[in-house]
Amino acid sequence: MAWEPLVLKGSLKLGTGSGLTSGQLLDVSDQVYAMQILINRNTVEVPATLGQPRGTRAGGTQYSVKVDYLSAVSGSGCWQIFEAALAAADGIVCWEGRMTDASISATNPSYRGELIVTGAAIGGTAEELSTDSQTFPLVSSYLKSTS
Amino acid sequence: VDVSAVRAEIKDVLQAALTGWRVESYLPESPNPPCLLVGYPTDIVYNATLRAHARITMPIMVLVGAADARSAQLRMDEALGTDSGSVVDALHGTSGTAWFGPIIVKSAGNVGRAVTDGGAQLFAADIVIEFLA
Repeated sequence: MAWEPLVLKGSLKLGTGSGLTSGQLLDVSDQVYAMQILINRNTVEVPATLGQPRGTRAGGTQYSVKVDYLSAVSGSGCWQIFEAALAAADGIVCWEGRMTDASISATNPSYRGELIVTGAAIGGTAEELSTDSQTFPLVSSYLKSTS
Repeated sequence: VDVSAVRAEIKDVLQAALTGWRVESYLPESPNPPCLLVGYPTDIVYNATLRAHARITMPIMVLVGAADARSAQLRMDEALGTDSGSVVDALHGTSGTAWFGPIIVKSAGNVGRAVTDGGAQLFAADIVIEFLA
């Protein structure tokens, strides 16, 4: 298939706790206005030896999810899910997301995994919508489904 | 987003909350003051969330007859203030079925005189609201 730029119009489901199934997650897509899956690789500095100069090598990989969301003090939504996770010892939230609203396929995979909630905020500027932006590390890599 | 439904429901909210004002969900050929007109959106940002909600900015136009300048300005003051009987008091934070979440009444401006096609002198202002739908 030819390359074409992605226009984000996907979905995001969340649920507090680990090991949740897709059916146990809450669809928060109407509250989310930006979403990114990020992969970062650490680097390792290799000390110089007589036979090899000092250099940089690939280290471990860190996966994370960035979510920009609207928040409210009532109802069920991102804030309530993150708040509950922050009160839990492990801070884990299960997530499942897609980048477009097309069916799951090789060109529109579904991503799922477990993230660690490291912070959340509610409120903001007077007389504006309450919003927040958070980037959460994943416990490990994500699981990518194409069917 | 059903813009007509949004305008109609905002009209109903204003009409129920405010007395002594004719409220229209459209721009009439010949306004009959004192009236509040739910104006046409000045800005629509589509796809404001993953569920394709739109962020809409639209004015509520306030029109009062200016034949008696003092009473016209007092009527305008009532609409532009924040006390009971004002547009802010009627609309700010209001949830509805045709839009998503609360309405934010952002600002008021364009206060001044206007003249209808028929030559009637009016005192006019715009109150700007913003919401997701």
